[in-house]
Amino acid sequence: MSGRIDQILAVCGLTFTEAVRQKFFYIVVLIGCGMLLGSGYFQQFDFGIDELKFVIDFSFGTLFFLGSILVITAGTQLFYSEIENRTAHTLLAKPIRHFDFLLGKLCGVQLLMLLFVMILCGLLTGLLYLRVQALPFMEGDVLVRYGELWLYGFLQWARFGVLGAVCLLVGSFARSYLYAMMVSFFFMLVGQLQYIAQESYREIAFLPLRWLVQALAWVFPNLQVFNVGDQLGHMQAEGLPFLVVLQLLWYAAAYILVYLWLAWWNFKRREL
Amino acid sequence: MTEVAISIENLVKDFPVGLRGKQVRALDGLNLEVGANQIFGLLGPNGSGKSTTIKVLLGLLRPSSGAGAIFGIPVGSLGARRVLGYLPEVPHFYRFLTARELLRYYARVSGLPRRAREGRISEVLEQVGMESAAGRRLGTYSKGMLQRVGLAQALVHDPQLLVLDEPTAGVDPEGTAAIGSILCDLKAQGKTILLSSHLLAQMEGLCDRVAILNKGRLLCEGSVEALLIEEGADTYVTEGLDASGRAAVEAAIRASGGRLRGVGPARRGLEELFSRAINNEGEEAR
Repeated sequence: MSGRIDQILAVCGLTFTEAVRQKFFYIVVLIGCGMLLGSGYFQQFDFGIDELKFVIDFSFGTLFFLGSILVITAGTQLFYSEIENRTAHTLLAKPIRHFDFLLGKLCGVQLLMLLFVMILCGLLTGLLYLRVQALPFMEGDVLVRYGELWLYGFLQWARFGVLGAVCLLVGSFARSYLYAMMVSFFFMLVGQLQYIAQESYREIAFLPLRWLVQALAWVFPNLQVFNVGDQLGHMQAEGLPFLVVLQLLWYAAAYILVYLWLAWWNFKRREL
Repeated sequence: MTEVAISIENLVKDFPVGLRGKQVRALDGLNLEVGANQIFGLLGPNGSGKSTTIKVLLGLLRPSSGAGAIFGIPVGSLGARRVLGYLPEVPHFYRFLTARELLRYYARVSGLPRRAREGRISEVLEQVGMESAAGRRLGTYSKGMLQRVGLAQALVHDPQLLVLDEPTAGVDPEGTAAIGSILCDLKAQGKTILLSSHLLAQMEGLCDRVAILNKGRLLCEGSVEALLIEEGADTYVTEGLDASGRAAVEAAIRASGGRLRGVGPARRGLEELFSRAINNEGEEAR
């Protein structure tokens, strides 16, 4: 078993090394940092506490948006390049299971996303801390709940895991990098708009059709459930119950496992 | 009886082409057996089915029908992949890694235990003559060096069988000779080597047995000696004969009932000429 873990860690480590060497990663991180730093300039409007909420919302949006682009671009590229450059040939000629190879790839991408989330959350925490020190407030007031900023980052990281697994699934059957990326983005878009589909199928009176549409809807994850930014971070937010956090993590893990299994099933049958 | 390293039985591989699902047959009922501790050459023109055969052996392609085994283990299984090492025609590696880092990665992927890893990496680097460049990034390597590192990655988990797809494609004659010498050493260590190429002269000097494929079919198979010997014909290479001496030899042949098919200057191969020229220059420089 330790041999298998070492194989997975080897693929994960190389995927991460390859990813952090890419200029695209640095560009996304720089844009993210720039946007977060830029949001701090809203203090000149003197929004007071509302300003903090704005900075938090803006930063959460940045993390969500740039993270989605990064995970799909890097996830697709890091997996598909192995097929395109034929490094997969020499790798899969070695005694490594296809599943372990895919799991290693996903872990490598997740490690990259963890670094991305930590950089942005770290910067946001620092920015808010400095701003809070500058704002007049009563002794004992908690204007920003810093732990919740990191909880949001962690939940987004779980969401990126779902998208990473989507990239592997799409890459397992895609015949070109561009196709793999476009379909992965399409998956994300459908996932973000899932709530519309859910509202629609509830109105279908004909039961078999409703079940069919519902079953189809389950194919795509409802990524909207991870949009919990309004409930986290600032003093007016109501917070997120621990049970909900667990449910979200379970939801992400279930989709990751199913997509990973489908990717493996597909990839094992793929002729290279 | 010699142990069988590779056995292929009635292998058929069809590829669907176009939207209508029309099939193109790449391998057409191929039967092949490769004994252990041989250098076996798979010859054939482009599109003859050499690479398809290799990919089936590696488990990268599934046969449409028929079966294959490596040391009795079904192809594509984890067990079969444990006993084989593979060098692709054009090895693409991670350019940002050094040779040692690359080999460490492949050793880990092959499941080589940590305690054995570093020792084995140094061993294969020495085997392919790359110890001195092991700390350089692969992006700075020449084609021949990449091919040698590719060979090292194929060897890193000490497989019994090496499958090499055009191992000298794009490599200069000096590099080709070096790879040939490494392969001979590997054979001496008991490895079985299957290599595909369309460079016939090179295969002739290297292989114990060869098989010629065309359009997915096996045309002939056997030991190089047996296949190349022309029954009932002999070659004499003479030196220092003048015109009268030559006439006497020709007359002797005719008198014994033989037929002289041709007389011409003895030629050496271009590859031999190249190697000699390079070696001579090297010696002069010293």
